[in-house]
Amino acid sequence: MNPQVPAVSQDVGDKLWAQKREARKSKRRDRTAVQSKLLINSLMDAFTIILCFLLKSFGSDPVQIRESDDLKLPRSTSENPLLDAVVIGISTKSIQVDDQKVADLRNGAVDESMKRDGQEGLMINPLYDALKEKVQHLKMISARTGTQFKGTTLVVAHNATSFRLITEVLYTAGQAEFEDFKFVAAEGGEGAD
Amino acid sequence: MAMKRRKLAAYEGDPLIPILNLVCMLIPLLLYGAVFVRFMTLTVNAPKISSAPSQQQPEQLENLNLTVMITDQGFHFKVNPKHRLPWMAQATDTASAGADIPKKDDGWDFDEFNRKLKEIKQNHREELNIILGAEDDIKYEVLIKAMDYSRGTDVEPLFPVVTLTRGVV
Repeated sequence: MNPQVPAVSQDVGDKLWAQKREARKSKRRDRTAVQSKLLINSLMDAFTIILCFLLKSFGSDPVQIRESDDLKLPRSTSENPLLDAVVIGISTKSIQVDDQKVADLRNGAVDESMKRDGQEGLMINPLYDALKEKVQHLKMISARTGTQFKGTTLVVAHNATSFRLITEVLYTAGQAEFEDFKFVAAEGGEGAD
Repeated sequence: MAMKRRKLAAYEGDPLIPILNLVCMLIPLLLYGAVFVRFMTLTVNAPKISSAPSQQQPEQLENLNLTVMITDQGFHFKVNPKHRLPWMAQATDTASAGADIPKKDDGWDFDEFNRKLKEIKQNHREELNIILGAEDDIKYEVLIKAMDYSRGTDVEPLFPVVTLTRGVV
């Protein structure tokens, strides 16, 4: 038994089939369009969150300190935050005042030619000159704004810096009229229980 | 015509792309400038530097005058002789005295240092000052650690006012 399908109904069937196929295609197209829009939206959400986090971490401290191979700060349990002051940086290679190099270091020490009293001396001449200049500048600002010159300095030193060099820097800063010294350390040291 | 319609549709569908581009450029820029480590400060008084022995005031003669020297041998404690504890070296100069807390194989014994400071603090509740000194080649991180232990904790503060002294006395 072979049922005869009329030619008209076959045409209708083909048309219906074509319409169905078209509908399926357009549905698929729409779905792809919606999906891509959703992807971009979630990506934007993620980026916005990252952006907010980075904006918060950027420049929240009054002083920007960047650790490197030459400047690894010791860890401390102190909870005193950073404050705006003149920064004396001591890396493995040089001494800087507010990011301006003032003296080179050789084997972690200042060359005796840069010291006022030779090898055993404590005063580092180029550091003294740079700090004295800063003091004059800060005093001028204090006089104009009617505030008091505090003489605060932040010492940002590499963790392997010798105590001798620290003493030399503090002594020189003291001679240049700085009297409030603050050592900078990274958070997370081990302290007393 | 169909291509034009497609282009138009694509343009209408992605108005966020320029913002996304901007954000993509901002992220590396901010990543470069971001600081993920918090930095703290430790206040320290200027080093006492004098070649001659200083003239002590009468009240200073009664004070504890706690001084700790960090040397390659360990920690050396010095106090006013009136307040000296039995475990402290009797010698007047650090060079001839052995360390009160000798170094261990893995470095300075900070736990014992902490215990000794607590013991001293028990008898001198009002005292806040400590003088820290070190040999020339002692590393800065050892000094910072000693300062942390000297300060104690918020619950149990020990000697938070730290003064540095030059060299070993």
